[in-house]
This record gives sequence, C-alpha cells and structure tokens, in this order.
Amino acid sequence: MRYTWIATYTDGAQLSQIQSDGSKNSYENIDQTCLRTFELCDRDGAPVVRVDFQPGERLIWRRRVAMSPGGIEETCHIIGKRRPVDEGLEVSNVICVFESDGRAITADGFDDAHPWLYAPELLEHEM
Amino acid sequence: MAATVTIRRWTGSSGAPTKTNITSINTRANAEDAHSTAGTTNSILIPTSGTNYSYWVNTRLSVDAISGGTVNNIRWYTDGANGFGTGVTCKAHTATAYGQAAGTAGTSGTQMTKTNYDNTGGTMDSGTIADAFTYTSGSPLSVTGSTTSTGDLGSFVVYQLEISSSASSGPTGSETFTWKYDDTSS
Repeated sequence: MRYTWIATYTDGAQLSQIQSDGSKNSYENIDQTCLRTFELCDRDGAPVVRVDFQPGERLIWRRRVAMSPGGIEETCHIIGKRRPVDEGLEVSNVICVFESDGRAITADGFDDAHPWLYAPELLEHEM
Repeated sequence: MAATVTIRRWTGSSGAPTKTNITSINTRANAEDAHSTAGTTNSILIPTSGTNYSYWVNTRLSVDAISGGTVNNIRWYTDGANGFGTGVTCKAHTATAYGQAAGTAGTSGTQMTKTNYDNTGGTMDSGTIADAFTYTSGSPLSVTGSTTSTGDLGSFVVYQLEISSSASSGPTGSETFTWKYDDTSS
C-alpha cells in the first residue's frame, strides 16, 4: 500500500488512516461535517494530494483495485468532492492517483465510460 | 491495510464446492469440471460440424481479510480482443447462485444458457449471454455485490468457450479477465 490518508478537521484535529501506534481508522470514521482537508500521503508521510473542503462539502474516497489471475494490476485512489446544490449534493471535482507510478488524473466529475473515473456506489454514511 | 481479495474458481457439487484461488495462476477451460493450469486430459473435442463447448467456468471474488470498510462496485472485463484463435469464441454472464458445470468429459460441456445453468441448481441472471470480448474497461460487465466482512463476494461471472470445426488442435492462446472493485477498508 503506497498511500494512506489523513483527514484534518476544522478545529485542527487529525484522523489518520494508520495511527502512529499502528492502529487503524476506517474511512467511515471520518466526520465529514467538520472536514477541512483530506490528504493522501506517501510512506514517508509526505502529502501527495491535498483537497480542501468548505462547510457543506463532502468527501468521497475509494481505493479502486484492478486484479486478474497474475495478481493486482493497479490500484488507484479516487478522491471526489461533493458540493451542496439545491437538489442535494453534486460531484464537483475528482482526482485519481495511481499507486504504480504516482500519476494523477483529474476531472470535473465522474465519467462512467472512463476505465477509472466511473462513479462509486455510495455508502450509507455518504448518502 | 487494504482488503485481501482473491479470485476463486468454483468447481464440484453445489453442496460442497471447491473454491480454487486463481489470483496468481491461470485456469484452463477444458471439457471437465475441474481447475487445472495445464491439463490436457479432457480437452474439448473439435467438432466436425456445429459447436462444442468447454464446461462453463464459475469465477467469483472472495474477501479473505478486511479491516473496517466496504468492498463493492465490482466490474469484470477483457481487453476487447479475442486472442483465443480461429474458431474459438467466449461467452460470459453473471449468476447469483452457483451451478456446477456439466457435459461429457473430454468432448463437450453443456451449452451455457440460463435454462441449462439453472437446471444444475444455479441461478443465472436473465438477459443476453454476450461475447465476453464486448466487455472492456470502458464498458465492463457489472457484478452485483458488496460486503464489509470476509467471505464470498457478489455474483459469479461465468464464462464458456465455444469451439467450432475451424478451430485448431492444441492449447488456445491465453486471455486475461480483469476484476475491478472499490475498497474503503483501513
């Protein structure tokens, strides 16, 4: 696993995917009502991607894996931002960061015809 | 830690299926209900006319380890180009319940149709059983399934090779079938 995430709240507190003591936090544990930034960090803890959030905006994060007989072909981290609109929330930005070589692609939203940028199935806490 | 997910080939009776981990190896579609990486004992007989079939191949994901989070949004696809060779095609479809492959060993499997699949105790999804190579990374086969715990995950992807009289004897070329899923585990 090349990248892990760190969530920083508006009061400055942080929730790391893997704590310094080795314990783990789940993505579902992130309190999105007070999220200020979401960072993807490399094994040295250096941030690779940082996404800032305004009040009302919500995070979508997925580790998207492609595998075949032969093992895992590729893993990419999908980071999306959903912003409030009259009808609810709409996706405004999507970043996809690949673990194999660190390249990133960005888009204004999910693209169901794209091999990596298609929409996720929302989880209960994201609805 | 990301969830540990493997690809399993199911064979044997529905009451006690064998679930072979094929994540790091190949599996052959022969005229038998068995996994092998290079078996030739029960190869598919090239017909003088018409079509013979491999025994259909049941594949499914398995979550072997997970720490928090969810694995869902499963997709399956090919590279879009049939490299099996002349006279060899492949069909694929999803099934919600396992149906053991049947046929005449060393000659031909039973053709994969919903009726035939369901007659073995399985439940194949309705809809067209399509050419596997129509499923690509940009237009994959959607596979129902979501889990937060270890165990078998989602529907089966079942595929079958179809052999016509124009096929050449010997092993076909190999093809890679790719699974994709989303994981939010710790």
